[in-house]
Amino acid sequence: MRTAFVLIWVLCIGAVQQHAPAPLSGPSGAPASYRDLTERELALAKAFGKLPSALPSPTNSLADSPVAARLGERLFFDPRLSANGNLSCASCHDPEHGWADGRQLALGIAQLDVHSPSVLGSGWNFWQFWDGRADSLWTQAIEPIESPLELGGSRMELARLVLFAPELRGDMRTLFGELPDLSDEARFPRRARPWPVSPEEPFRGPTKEELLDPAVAAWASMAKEDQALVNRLAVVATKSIAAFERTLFPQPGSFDRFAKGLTDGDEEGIAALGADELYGWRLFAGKANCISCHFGPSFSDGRFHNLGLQTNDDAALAIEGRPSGVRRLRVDPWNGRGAFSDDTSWEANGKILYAATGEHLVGAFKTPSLRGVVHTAPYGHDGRFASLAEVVNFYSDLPGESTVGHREETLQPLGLSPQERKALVAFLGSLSGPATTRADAEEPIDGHLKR
Amino acid sequence: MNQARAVPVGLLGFAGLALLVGSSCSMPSLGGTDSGRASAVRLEYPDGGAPLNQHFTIEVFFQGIAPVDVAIDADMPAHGHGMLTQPAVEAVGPLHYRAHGMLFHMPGDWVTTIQYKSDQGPEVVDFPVTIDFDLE
Repeated sequence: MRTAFVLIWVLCIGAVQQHAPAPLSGPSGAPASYRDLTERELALAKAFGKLPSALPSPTNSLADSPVAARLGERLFFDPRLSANGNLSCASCHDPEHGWADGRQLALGIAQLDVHSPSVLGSGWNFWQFWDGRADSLWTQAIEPIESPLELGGSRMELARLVLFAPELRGDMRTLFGELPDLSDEARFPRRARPWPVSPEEPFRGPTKEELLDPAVAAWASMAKEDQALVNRLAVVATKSIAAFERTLFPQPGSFDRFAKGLTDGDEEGIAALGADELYGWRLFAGKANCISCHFGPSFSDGRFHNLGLQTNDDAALAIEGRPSGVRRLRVDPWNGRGAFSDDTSWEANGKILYAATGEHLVGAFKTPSLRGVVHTAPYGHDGRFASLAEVVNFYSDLPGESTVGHREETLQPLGLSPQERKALVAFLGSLSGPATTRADAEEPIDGHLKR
Repeated sequence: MNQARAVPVGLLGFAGLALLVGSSCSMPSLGGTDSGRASAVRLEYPDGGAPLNQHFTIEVFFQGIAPVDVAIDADMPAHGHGMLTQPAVEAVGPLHYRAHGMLFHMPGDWVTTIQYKSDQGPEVVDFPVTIDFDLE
């Protein structure tokens, strides 16, 4: 029997109304100036308009090490990590393209089925990858290095690189301690990586098909203690890449100047937002309800939602999204509970324990941050939107029926007018400052860089 | 980041204190059953509230019944989805349960649901709560 608190629900209406979108100030709903914004709109702007710091990373003791960040930066741009010698992390996370790649779908050695997200602000993420299958940046970093579709490298090559390259070896010694000798190629083949971990059979050995890959066969031939040594070296390298990525942030935009102006009572700062942007902010926080998922200073909840993007038009490309990510996360030997984590406690890794895989998450992908968004087109987990105007049009019209899971019911066609669409795009532009260059990454942005 | 303002609507229902809507959720919430008997379920937030988009713990206390098979979950009825987490339910004592890993990842109206079996059969008690941004 289900308890029916009719009275309570009646009382709830007051609470719902308390948070309802603000009334519009005129026939068009556009505020004439910031003085027309409601107290709630102003308070939200002040709360969101400041660049956040990276989240703590307790599983990575090198997360805030300047030496690790320097080593990680060199590795990030080093094409020797790839099988063909032409690709690096920066190929898909290119400073010239907002630290994404400007392509609809990522292209490594082969094309992937998802779009390359920007790594700017990736230190804000609870989860990495669109399906959140990695619980940290350092866990994430090994997959693209070893994936045959991406860099096609191996952790043995990564370990050998940081040991043998003169410009990397010194920092590696500082971080790792006395460096081991991997010159015996009978014990340490030049190229070796493990077979993929299967969520269904996490402790299985390599299949016959997997052993056809010489790198996998080489790994399978190694002694367990030698595999462990190479893993320890590779982990220091990926923790260093993570330390570098944690220093990468979008630049503050005019919205942040507006918010600071509100806080400080500075009219010049307040004037950073024009009429269209103010109207866009009202829509973003009200009628369009974008802040249901894009909230907080990072303009993302960092969680997973099904927007109903996958329809019959592209059924062949169906991607399960979050449930698959959770299954892989749980068996990943490099997760925060694994042997290479610097804090395996449940206090530091509760998100792994509690991560759900229910039907309601099928077709759900991670909410991206909107900071710096003008520099990172195209948009969406599959890069289907060429422009911000296309994104806004999608939410306005919500075309198609989801064929992978179901579109969240909170999404309803907004029916935005041309003026409203224009205002929302203008507001999104105010969340971006100048592009962050590699040189910017070596200088503080709002005091965030620790090197 | 954002500390939510959670509304103890269950308690409000019992006390009829409509004017308290929007207050802190540090007070316990009470539930009841359709049968109207003396049994009751009380929900508490040991950390003072349900923070938006952060894991939190709830405590559930039973009175006048001996519950078994206690399950705790939450969803957003208007959105058609539940939490992104599967809480771990711990039996602290025969009448006291604790759920770790609760997560209200969106602002809006949530309902925490306590399911259990008693000598009266399966029962379900709901605790509606409104989660908002911390703007203070």
